[in-house]
Amino acid sequence: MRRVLLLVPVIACGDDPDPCATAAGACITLRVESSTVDAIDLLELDILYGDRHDTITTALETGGVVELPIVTSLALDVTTPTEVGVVAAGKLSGGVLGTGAASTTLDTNQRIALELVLAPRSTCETGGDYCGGDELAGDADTLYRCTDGVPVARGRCVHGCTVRDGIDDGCAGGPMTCVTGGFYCGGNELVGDPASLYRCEGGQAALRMMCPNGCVIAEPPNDDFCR
Amino acid sequence: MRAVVLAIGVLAARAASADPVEDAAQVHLDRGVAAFERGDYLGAHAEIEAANKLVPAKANPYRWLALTEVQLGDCARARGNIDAFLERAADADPRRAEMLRLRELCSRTGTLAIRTTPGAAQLRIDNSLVGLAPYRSGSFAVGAHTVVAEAPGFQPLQRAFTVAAGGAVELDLVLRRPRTPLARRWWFVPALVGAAAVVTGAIVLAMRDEPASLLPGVTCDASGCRPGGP
Repeated sequence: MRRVLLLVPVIACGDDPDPCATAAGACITLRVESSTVDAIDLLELDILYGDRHDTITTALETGGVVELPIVTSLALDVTTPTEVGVVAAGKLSGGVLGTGAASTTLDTNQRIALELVLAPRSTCETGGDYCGGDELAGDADTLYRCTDGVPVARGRCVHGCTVRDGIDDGCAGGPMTCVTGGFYCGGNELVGDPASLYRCEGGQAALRMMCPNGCVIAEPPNDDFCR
Repeated sequence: MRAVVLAIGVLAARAASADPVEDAAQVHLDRGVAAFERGDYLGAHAEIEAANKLVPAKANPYRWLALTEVQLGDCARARGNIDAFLERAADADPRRAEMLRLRELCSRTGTLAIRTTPGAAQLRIDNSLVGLAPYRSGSFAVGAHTVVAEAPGFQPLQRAFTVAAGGAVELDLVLRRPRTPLARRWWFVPALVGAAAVVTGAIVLAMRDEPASLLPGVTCDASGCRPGGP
């Protein structure tokens, strides 16, 4: 069952601090709240911006527990309108209390306020790949790997994400069909994980190799490759 | 006539179970292939390995071991099984081409192992988070790479390395604590007093207005994300 993810621009929270107030470039003020999580000591952020992906944590510099809602900032170096997806996991003493997702498009020097709601952790199967909204929080056009109930982005699906019963979800291959013998990233002319390299056999993914640092789509007729 | 039919039936039954070891191997292999097809590669590997041990002269289990190991990201082990299959398979075997392609895929990789002191340091390879140490990949892309290890209370450590085709790279990264303990620095006590005043003020303000708490920001650019807001 897909969950509806709310991405609500924050409407002038007069008393909230604005960490983007002094930002020189593009900046997102991220407000995290929850009706089920009271306090956390670590906020894990999985950030997908353009074709880049990174995971980072933030916490009080002094350590300790902080009550929700909380506000933090994401300063991004963008020169063109860039899609930004954020998945957050609120942790307390190492355990995940809740996860949530939000996404937006950010342009040069633009300031955007986003609200992200932490919901109880996913029941997804660890190690499985899921489209956002299919058993875990996230963007519907992004493929995530379930890691102890926390969605970790594998990559954005250029041609959309395909929910599949009984097997891992995957990025759709788009209108083109891969050429037998060629190497392709998942979601580029064949269905698969955008962070894996596949060999095309008969128009389908046949052999798979994980790319720890991501898969790069090359200009035809060159093979795609692991970064 | 009935006797002839009976005799044929007995002979057929004997032929089916002529080699119980081969039969047992086939059962393991069938289970392994079924597990492979539903994406349970660890389960598949265990079953196929059991089949391989029972009939080590047969080519097909080596092929399935190689296919499974590539799925598990372990080209280092797959290479040996690819070669074992090719040694045993007939020249006209159509599966040879598949194994040659698999060997080509694996030829673009090497083995990488990273350990850290302290253990469980967070590792970034080429600016991408790959998880906590120890890290091992049996199919890491050849070429020049950089790893950064980070652990709370320790200085981040960066190391460049190069993976060669079929080669093995092992890194032992020893992280160091900052040289001067924070509490022994001259500015520590004044800073502590100042911070206490700021925190007290912030708490008073927080109790009065109940605004959202502020966490340190994050900055992201082409090289990745790092702590630190605008």
